[in-house]
Amino acid sequence: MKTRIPELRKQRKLSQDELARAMGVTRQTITSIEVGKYVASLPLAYRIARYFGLTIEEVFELSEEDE
Amino acid sequence: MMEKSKKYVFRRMIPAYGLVLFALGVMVYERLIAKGAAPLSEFSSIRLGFCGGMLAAGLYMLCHDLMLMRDPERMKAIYIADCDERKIAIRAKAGMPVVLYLSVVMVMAAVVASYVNMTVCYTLLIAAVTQMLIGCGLKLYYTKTM
Repeated sequence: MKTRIPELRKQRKLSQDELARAMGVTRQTITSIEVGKYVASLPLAYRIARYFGLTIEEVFELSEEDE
Repeated sequence: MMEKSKKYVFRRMIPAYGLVLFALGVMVYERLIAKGAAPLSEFSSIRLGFCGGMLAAGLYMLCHDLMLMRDPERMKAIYIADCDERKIAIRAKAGMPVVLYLSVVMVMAAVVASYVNMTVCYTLLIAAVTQMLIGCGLKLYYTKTM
């Protein structure tokens, strides 16, 4: 799963820790999602997308491996 | 969030209460009721040692959680750390909630079995420790890969 979270964070000058706190998860979870080690659950993906004011499709993208 | 974390910490204390009660029960039976006449009393010190350990662990968990309840910020941090969805997924993959509770129940069963047959007691203890080690190993592996 590809994600635009690092790019969106940089645009808003947010650290992983700040995003994690806002989402109610640990920083390690955000790191794992960003590097593609862990696929966020639908509620978390929804919360992240809503936090950035975007849709899930705009934040997350299915890679060829996932399809 | 605060209410949820309070409920979580309170729920977390229930197994610790169980552990303390079990250990106290065995110690009271051994020292005050049986007074050295319990079946297989030659293994009494092993039983008491185990129960002492369980009592210490249970009391530590209880005190830790009671102190947590006084500090809302730490309580919230513990709730986020324990209820983090990635950690829940890692624990589930390692079979952790079941393995952990099963191991504790097996250790309790081993203490009870020590009144009947020490071979059964040792077998249960070895099985409990082995499955805990496997569970911890899997948890470590998935923590690195997820």
